[in-house]
Amino acid sequence: MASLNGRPAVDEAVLDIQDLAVEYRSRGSVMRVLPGVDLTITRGQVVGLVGESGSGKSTLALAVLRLLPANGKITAGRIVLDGTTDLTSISREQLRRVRGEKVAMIFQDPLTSLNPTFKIGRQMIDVQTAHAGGRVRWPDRKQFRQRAMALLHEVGLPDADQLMGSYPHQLSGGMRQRVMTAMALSLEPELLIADEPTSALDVTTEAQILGLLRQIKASRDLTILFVTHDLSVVAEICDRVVVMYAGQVMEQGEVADVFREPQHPYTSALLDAVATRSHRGQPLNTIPGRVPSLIGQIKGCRFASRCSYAQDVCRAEEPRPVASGSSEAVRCHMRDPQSGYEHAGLPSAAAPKVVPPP
Amino acid sequence: MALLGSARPDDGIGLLDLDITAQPPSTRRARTRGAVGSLLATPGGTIGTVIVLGLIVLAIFGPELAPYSFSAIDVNATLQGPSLHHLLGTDQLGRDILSRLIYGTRIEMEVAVPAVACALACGLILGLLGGYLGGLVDNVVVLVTDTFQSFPAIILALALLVVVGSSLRNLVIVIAIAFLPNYARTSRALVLSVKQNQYILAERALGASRLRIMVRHITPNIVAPLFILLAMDTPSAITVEAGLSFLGLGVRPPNPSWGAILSDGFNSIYQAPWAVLFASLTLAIATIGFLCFGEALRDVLDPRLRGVSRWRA
Repeated sequence: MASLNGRPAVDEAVLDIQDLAVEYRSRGSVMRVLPGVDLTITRGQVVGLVGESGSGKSTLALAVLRLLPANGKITAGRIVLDGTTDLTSISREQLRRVRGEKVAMIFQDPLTSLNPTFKIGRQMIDVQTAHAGGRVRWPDRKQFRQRAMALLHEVGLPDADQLMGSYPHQLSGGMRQRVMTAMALSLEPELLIADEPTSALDVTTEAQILGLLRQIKASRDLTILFVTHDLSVVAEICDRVVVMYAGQVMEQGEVADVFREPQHPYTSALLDAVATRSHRGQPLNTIPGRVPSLIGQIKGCRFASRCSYAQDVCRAEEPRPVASGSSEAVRCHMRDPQSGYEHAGLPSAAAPKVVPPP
Repeated sequence: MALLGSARPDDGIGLLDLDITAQPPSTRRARTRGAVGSLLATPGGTIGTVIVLGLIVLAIFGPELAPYSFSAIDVNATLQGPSLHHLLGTDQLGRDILSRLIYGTRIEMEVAVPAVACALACGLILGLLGGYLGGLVDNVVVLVTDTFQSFPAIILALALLVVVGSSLRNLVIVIAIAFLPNYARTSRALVLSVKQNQYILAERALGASRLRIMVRHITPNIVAPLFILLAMDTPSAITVEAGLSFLGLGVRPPNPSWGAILSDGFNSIYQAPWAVLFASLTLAIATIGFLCFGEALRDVLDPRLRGVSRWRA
């Protein structure tokens, strides 16, 4: 994919998701939430995974660490970590080691992400003892404690000593998300999956947490998969953006490119729906309709029912991902030179400057 | 507190050096007050603690405190009412009821408390396994507990005692089994709700094993309600023991369990209601004491309620 963009394909992939399919089963019905997703996350990048509710972005994030709810199941595909380990087939114990040590995760609601019966200190130390293996002796505990304090310092909580003795309910939302981040960093993971870490916070705190993540990413050479529905957050922090719709990756590429010249009608519609100052006084743009039901098979393009440019071909055949403009992969018949519908319905404003393939 | 603080003219707290991590005064006081202090913070807690401590003291020092021996027969003073010689009267053999009740406390503490504690421990393990692991394990746990719970506790205990024979140890085991399903079901239900919490998911994401999550992360979150159940069940275990003794399957005469005293007194309730009256009263006081103590204990154990006084809130 990188070579299509004219860059050499030397970037090392931390995580390579290949054709990942996830189903949720509930009495009698099967929801194919992810029909087969391909996604590569390159070392040192912040990848934003965006989409509206029900697009499968959180499911994808949870599936990476096999944390799906009991009725969710990975039915096909591979999740390759560091080019060697396939997370879908390793044993429970191996998986336990990967969680936290290689890939860590922080969650949406910092208010419920910390165990209310534990003091912060005990919780921070517990993460380290869980991975220490065997019996933990007293000098280790002392070391763990110092390490926990250092981590709290790193995430911008200066009064670590007092904090270690506090219960989660005595902390504000922003502080709790910082503590969560510190816990996630305590085993020095390569990849941090952040599942809407700022959605439950107010804007000021959100900006602080984003700043913190950016700073940690730089100082620790961390790779971040950032799941969010907020495009402005993506613009703020991400290098790459992956747009998901109804379980499929619709478009992906560098944030600056995709946001400047979105190639997929869905991406354009999402960007149009963002409230900006230039829209002042006008009603907000919305995307009519809703995400299609994922029970049973979907024919054609998943976005066709809501797309204002949809043609007959869109309702009949599923588009394949193609490189178009500055986006690296777009699932749209109107961007596919082989479909015969290239630019058929898209207005010129949204049409890309055609870049000749190298 | 705040008023007092600001009334002092120069307390050194300016607007700029506000300590943002400072805790509200009630929390700070709760911490310095400590567990015992919080236990005694409410009238109910004080009453419960005093009663439970009293029962424990009676159980340990009973023989020293009782005015007579539990088996000292005085045929000249049978079925007496309360008097200076026999504060709570005597039974049909002239034994001092007060002394028998005091000796009985030890038997109740040896039977009821260990039985309920066993039920709690085993029920908690079953509930954790069933609730957290789900699937087949859960089905087995539910099947077993439902089967046991379909019998009333006393009937089940009665049937088991007939099978295994009656001794103090068997009595404990049988009462534990009779109370176990309740704990297994309650803890299972609590586990099912606690495991939905995001912090459990977060712990899994950080690589905590299933055992660690069950023991270290779920258990502390569910013991508080279980303690209430423990405190409520201790008196009912006493009642079950009393019932079994009443039916002649519990503690053997002349050993004075409260149930045996009730049962003896029942035969002469029209001539001298004292035995029944005072034994029931003791049972009632013990019940109230354990309930109040359990409730206070729950408040102390649950950090979410720590520092929150129900009387001020």
